[in-house]
Amino acid sequence: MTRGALVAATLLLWAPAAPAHKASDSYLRVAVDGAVVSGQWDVALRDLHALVNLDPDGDGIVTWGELERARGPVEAALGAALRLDSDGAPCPLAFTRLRVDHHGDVAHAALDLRADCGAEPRALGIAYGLLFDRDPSHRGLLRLQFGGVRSAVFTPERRELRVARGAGVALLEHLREGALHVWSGLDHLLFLACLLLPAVLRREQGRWVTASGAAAARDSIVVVTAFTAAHALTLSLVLLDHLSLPSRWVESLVAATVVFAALNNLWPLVQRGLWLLSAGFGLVHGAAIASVLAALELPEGGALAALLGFNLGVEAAQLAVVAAWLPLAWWLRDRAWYRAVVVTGGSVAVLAIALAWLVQRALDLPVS
Amino acid sequence: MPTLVLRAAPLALLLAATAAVAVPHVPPSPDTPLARVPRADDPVQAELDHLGAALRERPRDAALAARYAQLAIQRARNLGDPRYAGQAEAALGPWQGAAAAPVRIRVLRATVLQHRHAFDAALRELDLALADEPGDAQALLTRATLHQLRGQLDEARRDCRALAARAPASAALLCRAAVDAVGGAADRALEIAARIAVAEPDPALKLWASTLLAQTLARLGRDADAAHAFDEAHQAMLEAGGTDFYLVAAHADFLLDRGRADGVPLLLAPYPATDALLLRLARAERELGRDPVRMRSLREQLAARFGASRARGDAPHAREEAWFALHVEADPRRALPLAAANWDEQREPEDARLLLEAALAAGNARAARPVLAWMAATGIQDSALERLRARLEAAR
Repeated sequence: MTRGALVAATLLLWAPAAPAHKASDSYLRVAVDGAVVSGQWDVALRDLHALVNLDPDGDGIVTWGELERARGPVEAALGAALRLDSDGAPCPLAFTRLRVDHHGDVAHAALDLRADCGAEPRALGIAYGLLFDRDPSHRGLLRLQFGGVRSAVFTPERRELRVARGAGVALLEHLREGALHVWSGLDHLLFLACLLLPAVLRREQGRWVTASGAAAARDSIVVVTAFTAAHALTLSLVLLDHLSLPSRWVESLVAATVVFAALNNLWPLVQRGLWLLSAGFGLVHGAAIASVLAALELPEGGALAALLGFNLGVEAAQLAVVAAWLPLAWWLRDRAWYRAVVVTGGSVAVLAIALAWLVQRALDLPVS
Repeated sequence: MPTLVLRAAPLALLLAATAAVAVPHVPPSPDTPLARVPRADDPVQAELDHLGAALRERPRDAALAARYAQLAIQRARNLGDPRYAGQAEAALGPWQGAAAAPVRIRVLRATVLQHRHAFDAALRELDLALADEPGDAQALLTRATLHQLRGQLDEARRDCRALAARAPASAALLCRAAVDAVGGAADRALEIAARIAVAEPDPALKLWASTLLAQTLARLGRDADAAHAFDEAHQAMLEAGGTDFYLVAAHADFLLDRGRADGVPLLLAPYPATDALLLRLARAERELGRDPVRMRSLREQLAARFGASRARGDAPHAREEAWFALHVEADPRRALPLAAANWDEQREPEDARLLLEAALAAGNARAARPVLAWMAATGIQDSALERLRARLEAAR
């Protein structure tokens, strides 16, 4: 090891990682209209300069004149890095205009593009290969309007995308989101658990007795559906900006509903019309989750399909919980420990968790 | 100095030009300047181009790839431009995931991985390198730095000890002094750093020593000495012929801590607008409160950068985002979880401080516990951390 080599290395290595600067991104906006794909592709001039010499006079500054004169080679380089196809048949690509755009403080060449696919694609294929061999930290940020609007990021590992048309996609994607919401939202599951723990039983003169199987199934489904319908109503109102509630109070109210549902199993307050109670609580839960879902970014034009998908996903996942739980509960219903341990113990456990939430949320304690 | 050619607009220019509209347009004249690129007579860029062309002919030539990657990483650091780190990664690509790779290639890969905050992967790469070549000085030094970054001081000390037999005395001494400075032996660190800062002929080591000296003095609360040492370190940076963003940011923090926000815009004006420097500028402007329009523009720029980084799908920059939430947006509720997440990744004094400040501002003393335990375990001497600990205890 020579001293020089090590010293060069120390300069590299001793300082902690240099903080990020504006990274290498290109912005590809594409819309499909009938058989024609059109859009705009913004590529940073500094990135483009790695492919085409944009500074022939070598003064370290790219001017608009230099960019315009390099238009031919620029279009050739970009044309080689982007392929569009319609159901597998290539859509020949042409650049129709060159302008300049800024992202952050960085100047980009903005090229309008147009591709004629001959027929309206059912599935559009996009293959993106700009710069990856020179700089694997490069990213292609895609915004595609094809039925709904969706975004994607091209990386060295993911250079191709195939998108089927339309609202159907938004609906399916959000169906999954909705189902995941049930699985991942603990308060949602606990609330369901409270409603379902005693589903196979019913109260008579202060004691639990066994309910018939058909009645148990019907009551459970009615309760769960009432909950989802109400949930869908407030969720949609909030997401579509027709309703706005302070999240701290809504979150506290959600915890309170779970407390109430657990208490109701231990000391019954409401026994008939449980579905009404469930619907009321659904209104509250819907308002709560809406604030969390602001990140969901409803696609323009596909908002209703997305909302419908989301709610159907919620309903499907809840029904799956019911379908898994009821046979088990039915099988266990006559054992004494089912009532003592599962119904009472389970309700007590849920009560404890929900009370902790209620205190935390109502008093606005930080979560650590 | 050739390496001082700035590719990104310096902060001063940037702020004048933030009104640039994000609407595609045709510039008014063919002479309208659009972007800076390396000049044709820039020798470093010429060498990179030359090596890059050779590398396209012989992509598996390890010596060539290593030279290219080293030069590109150095440039990424000097200019604060991540493109060059990406180019280094591309040059090292043929050895990605390879069972056998030259030690030098592994060390450079680790450096690139560290650059994009893939700390575990970087450590794995260095462990492999040192399994092949237990005494490799660059690998030891890099791993010591990484261990220190993660707060694993014993491991860092072990690597510095192993380095002693393999490297120039100053490098090994500084390796150890850097750990001592945060590990309860600040006096010894000061003594070594001061000695090397004065006597070392090598500009890179001199810069390292004088930065360490200034930061350690600042942590000990010896303000007058620290102010002087920061000036000396700046001089050393000029002599080393590059921009050291770590030093510049540390100097800005020093001014901010001493209520000298008014000195920050001037200090930062010559440098490219990295996230870290922009954050410091925004905090200074917020404290000065003299220009709400400029303040709003800075906040929007920072928010846009974090948004762009998320849109790319990059690993979140929790340290920077927590700093932004706490010191620029004054939103401790948002800062606290970010600072806590950052503490799981990076454990330098500034990360400790961020979590303590966020915990205090959010009124959640419990969240500060991991840092208080770390302070007790390392024995770090840091007057700012001590003050925060006292305030947290008083608040309990």
